[in-house]
Amino acid sequence: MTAVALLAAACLFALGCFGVLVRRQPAGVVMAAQLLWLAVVLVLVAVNQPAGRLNRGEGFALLIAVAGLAQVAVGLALAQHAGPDGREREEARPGRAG
Amino acid sequence: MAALTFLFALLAVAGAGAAVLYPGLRRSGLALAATNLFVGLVALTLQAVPVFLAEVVAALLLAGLVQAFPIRGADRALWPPGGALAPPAVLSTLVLAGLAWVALQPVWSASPNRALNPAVLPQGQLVALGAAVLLAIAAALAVLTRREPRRAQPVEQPPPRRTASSTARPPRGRGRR
Repeated sequence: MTAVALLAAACLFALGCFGVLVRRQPAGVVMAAQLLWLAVVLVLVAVNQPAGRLNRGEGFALLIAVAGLAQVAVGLALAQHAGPDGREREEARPGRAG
Repeated sequence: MAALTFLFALLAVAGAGAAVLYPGLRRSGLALAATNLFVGLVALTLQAVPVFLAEVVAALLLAGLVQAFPIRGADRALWPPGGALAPPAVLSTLVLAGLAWVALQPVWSASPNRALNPAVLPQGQLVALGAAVLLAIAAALAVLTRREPRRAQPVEQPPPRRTASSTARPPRGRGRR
């Protein structure tokens, strides 16, 4: 079971790298980066499984899951304010005209 | 159990592939939420129950976020966004922080009545936990303070073309030097 989880984590990490490199929209890059976090969570859970006494791996996996989710939330909020090419949108500035 | 692990791992990889390869942002976000869920199920088959619960909460929050954010250039939302997203966002961050807090207790099984006492936590874990809680609060603030994107100022129209007579240059030598 550990080998299956590690193999799935490797596939998730490869797909995440592919998405980060290929995706153009900022939100797409953020979502692909979430796959990298998921791969790390899976590795920690799988490696922790045979030992499993103090559940240190689970604790770190939880921390990483929380950090990854926070990263996605902040990244999506930033992507909302960015244009499709990743540049910041021009805000309307009344005093700038002329 | 090994067959279930293999099935959920396969579904997680398929969901990740859909999340990366699908061009629409909202649908790929839903595929990413499904990947979160399947990773949690893999963790459940490996007897990591807190990780499973955290991934379920993360999947629900991620699906809600992707649907609610007015992402520019994304495909149509499956359900309309609303201000009702804020309480689930705060609740989810609190649940995640609480799960991390409980899972990090080294004495939970030994003495549950002392488990939530911060004095029994090692210093390094306290620092990591504080950083995770700060990140969760930052995420909740980012969700709660989101604004509708304002429209950019319209591009100034070029002045209308003058007629041929008005655009004629003044004769040389008589203009201002």
